[in-house]
Amino acid sequence: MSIIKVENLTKQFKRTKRKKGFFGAIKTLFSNEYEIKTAVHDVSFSVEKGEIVGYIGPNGAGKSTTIKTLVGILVPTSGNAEVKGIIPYQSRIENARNIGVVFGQRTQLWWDIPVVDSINLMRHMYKIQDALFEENMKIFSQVLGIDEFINTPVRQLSLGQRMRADLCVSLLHSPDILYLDEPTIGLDVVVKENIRNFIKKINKEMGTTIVLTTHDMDDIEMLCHRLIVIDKGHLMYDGDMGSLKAKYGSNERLTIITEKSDVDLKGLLALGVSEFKYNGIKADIQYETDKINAMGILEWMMQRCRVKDFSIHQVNIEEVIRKMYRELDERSKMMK
Amino acid sequence: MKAYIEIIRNSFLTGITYRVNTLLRIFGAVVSLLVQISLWYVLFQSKPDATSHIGAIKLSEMVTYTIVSTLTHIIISNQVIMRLDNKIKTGQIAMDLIKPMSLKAILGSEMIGTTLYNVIFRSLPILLIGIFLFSFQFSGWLNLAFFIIALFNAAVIFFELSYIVGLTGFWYTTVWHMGRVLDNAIRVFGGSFIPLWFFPESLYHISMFLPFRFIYYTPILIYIGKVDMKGVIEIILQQWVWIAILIIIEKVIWKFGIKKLVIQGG
Repeated sequence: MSIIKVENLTKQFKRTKRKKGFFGAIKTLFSNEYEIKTAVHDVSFSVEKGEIVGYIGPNGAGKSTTIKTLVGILVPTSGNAEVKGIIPYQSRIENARNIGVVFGQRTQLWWDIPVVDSINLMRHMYKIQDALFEENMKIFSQVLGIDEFINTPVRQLSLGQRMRADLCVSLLHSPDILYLDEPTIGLDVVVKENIRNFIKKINKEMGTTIVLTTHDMDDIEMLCHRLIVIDKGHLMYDGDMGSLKAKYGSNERLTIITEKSDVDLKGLLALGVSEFKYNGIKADIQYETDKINAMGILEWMMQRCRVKDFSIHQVNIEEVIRKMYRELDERSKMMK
Repeated sequence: MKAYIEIIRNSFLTGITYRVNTLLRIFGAVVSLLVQISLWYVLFQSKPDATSHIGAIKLSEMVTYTIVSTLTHIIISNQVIMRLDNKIKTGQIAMDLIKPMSLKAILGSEMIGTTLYNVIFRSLPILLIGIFLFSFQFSGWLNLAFFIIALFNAAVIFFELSYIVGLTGFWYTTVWHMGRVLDNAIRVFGGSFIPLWFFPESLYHISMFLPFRFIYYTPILIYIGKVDMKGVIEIILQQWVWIAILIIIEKVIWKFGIKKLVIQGG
């Protein structure tokens, strides 16, 4: 049984058409012209219980709009969403009991008072049982180190501490579903690592279903079982990481350092190399693994010059996504 | 229920975080009170009393009116419009809407917390100045009891008005200027500076059809003892009618507004 179901979701925003310049701005005051912007267009997907789904796409793709519909704070223009059998934008408060939400760029903590006061408020707002509360607090102190700054006013916390505290308050009631909107934005490597481990642990031990939007490809590589990619409101990909790599990432990169020579690498193109750069010393060669392998290229090179060093770069998800975004961008330019 | 208490507590604590702010606001209220009272002293200079819609008014009554009005202002004032304006403009409202609690309940509890803080830290100094520097009249326990009921209703009416104006931000994004309009309307038609009994006939009649006079003017009338028991009951009943009307308006606006809402930013 799917815990989240999204069917043909479309959300359009109406906004006043703005004209350029000073007089344009004045004209805008009196004009009635609107333009319709479609943030999400006919998106359908479903999420199973216990999954960690990465919901990714370039800036302005419609990720946040989808998440906001799922948490019940935006009403879709058409289509449906269902979360644990509840239509979130119709029963927002009922839905709120089942979910935890962290928006990386905002906080739900009380700004001027210590973290512990926000925690106590959540405890009563979600009517958390004492036993569950104490158990969860124990986990959060261990893994997130909440204890260190529980009595500090939120405005004095570092970004990393604040994010840990935000995670803590959004998970206190052990929600079935956790929405994370860029949870690692602006954090240092250690804190990122810490938070990723925590998310993993929550998913494994509590069976929490997690929907994660992020621009950090390491988040995706380390956390997500499955990826949903959206661009300009359209669903572009939905499936596991392996097939995405296969689809967009059959490229590998080989860097070769040679002694100075003037070999023309054009000959490689016929063998299955898709791109190369060579300045006489350092060669950067991209190739498709189903046509040629690193050995083949190295042999070809060694016949023509002295190779001093080389390294092979595996495709990582970042390159896959970069390639995918670029293709999406080109495709939409062509359509125009 | 406990959640409400926690919010009230938290917003009370937020209030006392900024000590200098507290001191300056007390100072501001005291200065404003002194200016108003001096004005009435000058206006009443040669006369023992002034004529009004409800008979002769003595200077001491006017001074009491001003002090009670200032206290009322401190107690019922809320930052609902500023808060909503800010929440909508920055998109922070999302954080309230993901909670299993209505936005109105959250804002209402926050307001009670702030009120509690205001009663303790801001109204006491005014009351002490009123008692020791001016001839502040205590007009009996019965009047005080009814005044407190009317004051509570006044706070609810003001909260509902602010909430309604704040909700229009779902359409217009920014609403603080409308808050100013509301403030000024209340200042004039509510009688917070000049009692309605001094108003010209036409303005007085207009004010009869508006909810604003139930915020300052009529509760203060009850305190000073300018209305009989029948009048007191009438005022309280009329307040309830207005509360009911405003709640209906608010529900309708919410129903349409929440569909309009655009969460700003990321």
